[in-house]
Amino acid sequence: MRKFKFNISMSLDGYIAGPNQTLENPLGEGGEQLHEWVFPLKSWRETHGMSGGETGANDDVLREMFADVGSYIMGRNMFGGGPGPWRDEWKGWWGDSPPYHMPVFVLTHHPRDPLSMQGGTTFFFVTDGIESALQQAKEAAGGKDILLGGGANVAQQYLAAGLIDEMDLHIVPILLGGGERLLENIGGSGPKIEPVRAIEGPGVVHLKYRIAKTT
Amino acid sequence: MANGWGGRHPIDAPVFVVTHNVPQDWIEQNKDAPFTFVTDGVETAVEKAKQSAGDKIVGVGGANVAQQCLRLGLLDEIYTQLVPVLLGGGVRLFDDPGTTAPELETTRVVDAPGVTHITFRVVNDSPARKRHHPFEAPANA
Repeated sequence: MRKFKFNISMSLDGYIAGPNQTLENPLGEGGEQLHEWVFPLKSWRETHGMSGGETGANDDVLREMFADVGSYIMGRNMFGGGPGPWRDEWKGWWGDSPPYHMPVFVLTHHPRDPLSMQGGTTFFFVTDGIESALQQAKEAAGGKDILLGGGANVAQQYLAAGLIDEMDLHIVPILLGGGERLLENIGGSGPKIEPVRAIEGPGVVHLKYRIAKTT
Repeated sequence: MANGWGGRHPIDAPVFVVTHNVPQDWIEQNKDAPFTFVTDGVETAVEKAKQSAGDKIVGVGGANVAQQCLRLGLLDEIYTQLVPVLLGGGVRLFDDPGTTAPELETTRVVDAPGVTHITFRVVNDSPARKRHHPFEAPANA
């Protein structure tokens, strides 16, 4: 089995979304700034079927993040569509051809049939917990790495369970003052986290950490 | 918190302490210590420290005072040492940035065993930062 990696963009004061998240403003007030480092990049544009874009440290980091990844896990709040039972018309934020191009496992309390999108992304909805989602993601990854995205709730559950091997925090030097705090509810003093490397890029600092297994 | 380091700060420079209460006992015990207790606020303390420092740098310690300086636009640089432990509570550094959070720019990142050193410049007067949008035309098209 390869690695289970987690990556997310975070404000300097520890938030992955700003205050007052709504359907219209899913990342909260000021939260959209967390992802701006990504938009000009060649690798990001490629996953969206666009040409051109910047290369350099940020592009290298993003490219490395997705290299050799076979499946993706995310929480209900990241997939979106509001709480409660699913509405069929909601298919995520990313349009008809989401940039994942691989199986994506969405953690939710409400059942839904798999959703096949254009470009190779299929969303699978997992209602029986984080370990089941991870097991299914491993099988789907076919020997490659598994990548976890947001939201904070799902990440905290995986961190608390000691299941994550590697954590990449993209720290954007902004202060959101409120919102979704990432590193909370992890229990006790949390897992043992070791710095692996830090890379500076335009507008963001990329911190990679190894997380020691407790079992 | 450090009990005045016995009258001599590790950096061995004059210290200006922002406080509501002047600790007379401590002053009696450390008569020659270059410590000045300032009771009329952070701005006064910074001003006095700058005069004392001359051409040199004024350092600020403690989250509370640092936050006040940041809110008042008095800080030029912030040096952080990011240690990957989860404390789960305590004193937050970047609490309550106020209604106008300052703009920060990373100037240096240093990898080190068990800690990452990150230095930020506080951008007190800058033109509007370039914003990026998901589907903008590429810069090098």
